[in-house]
Amino acid sequence: MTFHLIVFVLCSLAAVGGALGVVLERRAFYSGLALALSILAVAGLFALLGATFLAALQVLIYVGAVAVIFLFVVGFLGVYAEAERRLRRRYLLIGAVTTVVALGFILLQVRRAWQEATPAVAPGVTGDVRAFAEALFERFALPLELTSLFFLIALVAAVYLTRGRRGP
Amino acid sequence: MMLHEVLILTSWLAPLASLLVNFVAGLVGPRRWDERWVGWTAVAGPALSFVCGLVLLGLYLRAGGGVWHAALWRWMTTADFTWPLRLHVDALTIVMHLTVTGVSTLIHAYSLGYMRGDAGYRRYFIYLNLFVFMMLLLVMADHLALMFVGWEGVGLCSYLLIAHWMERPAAATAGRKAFVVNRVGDAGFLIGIFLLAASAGVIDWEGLQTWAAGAPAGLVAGAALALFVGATGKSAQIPLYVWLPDAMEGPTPVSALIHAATMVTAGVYMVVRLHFLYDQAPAVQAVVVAVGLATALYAAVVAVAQTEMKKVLAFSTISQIGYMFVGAGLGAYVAAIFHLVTHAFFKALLFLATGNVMHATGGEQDVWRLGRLRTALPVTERLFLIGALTLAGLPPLAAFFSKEAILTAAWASRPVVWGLAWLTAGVTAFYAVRLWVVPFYQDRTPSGHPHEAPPDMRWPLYVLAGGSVLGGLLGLPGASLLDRALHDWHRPLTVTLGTEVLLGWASLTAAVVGSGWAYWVYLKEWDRWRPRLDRWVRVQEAFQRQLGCNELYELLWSRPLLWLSERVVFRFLDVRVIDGLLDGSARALGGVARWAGRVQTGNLKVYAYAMLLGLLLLLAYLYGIRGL
Amino acid sequence: MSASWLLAYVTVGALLFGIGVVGFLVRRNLIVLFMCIELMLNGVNLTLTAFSRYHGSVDGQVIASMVIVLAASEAAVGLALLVMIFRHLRTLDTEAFTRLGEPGQ
Repeated sequence: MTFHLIVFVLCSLAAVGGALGVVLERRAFYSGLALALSILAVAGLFALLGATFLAALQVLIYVGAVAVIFLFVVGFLGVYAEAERRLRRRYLLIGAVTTVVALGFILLQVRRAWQEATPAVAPGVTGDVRAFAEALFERFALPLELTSLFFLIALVAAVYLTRGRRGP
Repeated sequence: MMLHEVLILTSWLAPLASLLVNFVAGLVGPRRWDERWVGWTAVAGPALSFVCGLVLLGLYLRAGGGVWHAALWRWMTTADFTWPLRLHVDALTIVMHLTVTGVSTLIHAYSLGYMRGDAGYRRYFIYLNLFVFMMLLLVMADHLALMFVGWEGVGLCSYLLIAHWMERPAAATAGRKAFVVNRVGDAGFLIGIFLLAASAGVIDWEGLQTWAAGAPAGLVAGAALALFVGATGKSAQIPLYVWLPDAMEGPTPVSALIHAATMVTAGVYMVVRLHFLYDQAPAVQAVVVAVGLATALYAAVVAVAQTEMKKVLAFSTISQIGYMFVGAGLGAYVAAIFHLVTHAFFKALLFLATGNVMHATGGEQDVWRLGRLRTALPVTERLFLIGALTLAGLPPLAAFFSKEAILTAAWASRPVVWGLAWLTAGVTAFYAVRLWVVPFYQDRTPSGHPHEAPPDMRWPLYVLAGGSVLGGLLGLPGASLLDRALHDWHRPLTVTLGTEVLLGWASLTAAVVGSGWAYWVYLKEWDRWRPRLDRWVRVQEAFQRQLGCNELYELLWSRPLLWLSERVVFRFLDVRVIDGLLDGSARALGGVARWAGRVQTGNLKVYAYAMLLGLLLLLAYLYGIRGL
Repeated sequence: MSASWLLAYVTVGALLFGIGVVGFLVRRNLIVLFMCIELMLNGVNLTLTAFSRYHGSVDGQVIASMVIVLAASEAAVGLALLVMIFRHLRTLDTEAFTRLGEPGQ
């Protein structure tokens, strides 16, 4: 229990700190690094929740692919050192206010769920890859197919968009 | 389906079939569907119809009379009435049918040569077939509503054909004038139909006849008068005659068709068909006689002063139709229809002969620019002479007998009517012979090199000339189909045989004096008469201009209407009110859009913020209203 | 898993989401905006997984895995667009992207 708490605190601090780093760091390249840190920390939280498979996905796809591509693009375009002159404080204020309100709603929902929901019967079952796979390929078969189709379309679109112009 | 029903439907639909064949062939047909194919297809329809009519006549005579029907389907059905699409065939229908299809077939055949090489050849024949089809619908209809379809149909076709050479402004204007003037008459016709449908509840001939026998006199008279207004429009009587002289802008065979067979006779036919209404309304009959008589005399006098051959013929038609109305108004229905038939022969003959003249002279038809055509056009001259003498009413040519029948009826009712009609007959003879003498005999050299028409533009004229000569046989008392068919409708004459012979001599005198005088003035003593006539040039011009009738109408109707459309409808209603409303609403929308468009800054952050706001609203909805 | 643990995880998820939102609104570099979107998605994923654990049901994890796929797609297309925009405008500053605005704004 104590171990769990210690890991949770460390991972949470890393995740939130990385997120703050993304927002506050003015150099895009370091923002990207902070994003990778935050994502890794979230993967740790997943593992802590028993969702080991999801944690593996998170590390492989998010850190291995997405965050790396971000860094790659920043380097490719040569904008990693470009500093923004100033933040938009106007948006900072209203953004913060609305975010707080939205979070308030979400936490209210959580409180309600806390009061109503019954605790899990068998906590260990959620980490089972077998149960995950069964759910994914049986009950969620159609959404899975749609997602893969979506992914294919995105693939084609990305290739189309970045291909070099032929002709004049 | 009985044999006669098949024949009736075939004879009605045959012109439509040729029309459709030519239309479809024109759209998708083979390339070799050229003028020859179009022309012969167009002739085949009316010809087939005519043959069917002849067979039908034989069957009808063998059956010994009666009424035949051929129903196709229900046309209109409401809670109160059912109007079928049903054809009605009796002796009157058969006579009209044979006249229409017979003369139309000849005119179609003539058009093959006359219109050769015209750019609108196919269009011309399609309209021509449609014209015949609509006229057949008019004469074969079983009730007023169906008749009105044909009535409007011939109006439309006359518009289309008069304006056949629509690139010429005069032709387009003439077509429009025919259409608009006919609309005025048709409004009256429609009112008549509505009156009858509302009060009688039926509009078919049998039902109306039963109803008319016991109906209130005022109602019958009102309906009869309204229908007669329609007849004055369609049959070019005073006051709605003005479109017919202008209609000469169309191709000459079209004029022949309109005047002889398919259109202007519709009014006379309608009055005869609805004789039971007019028999019940003596006052309206008097109106019919008065209008017919006035038109006959007025048009005959105006015809004398015309210089264009076709204009003379146009006024002669107006005048002759006036005669028919006199007969119909007097209750002499046999005489009216008899004159209609003979008139169809000789008027078609005269028009087609005029067409040959125009063909020969390159469209020139001013009598004072033509002359000595006899040497160049010997055949046409003989044919024209037959037509002119028939129009003049000389025996034994057909029109003598038919006109004589109307004059006898006039004498039997009121001698003054007879007197005016007799006078008209004299004037008619005068202008008929004048029209023959001046272009064919007077010593004047026309421009160009006139040449006789080709054979295919001559043989239809031979047939028509034969009809003009022998048509009188149709009216032999007791033997004729007309007599037998219309026997029940005919008002018995109270004229002794002696009086009838005397009246015949009187008519002969009028015809001989009129034509003889014209011959004398315009040929024998022309050198002496020419200066005398020149002194009266202003009077001649006044008559040539129809005594200012067109100008009067323009002052009374056209100008106020134009003023109304220009100032009130266009400037105020259209520009101010309607355009104002539309422009105003467009401007208002534009203003709203410009205001709302300010949200679209193009700034990504604003859009993101709007999304966030939307999310908040959604949450508020879920949490607050749905109570989640 | 107790409800207080759930609250802790969900709070972390909400913080990630909120930081992502604020970052999206205040930053001007287009790449960073995409990163902020990824942050928001991560917050959502964490919340989903936490509830999944709490309810003892695997559904939330399945949906979270799909979100990961969608995030990858979005990054691919978004970065492709971004490269095109950069080629045209030579900048990634969102303040420069105003062509869709009403003229005169």
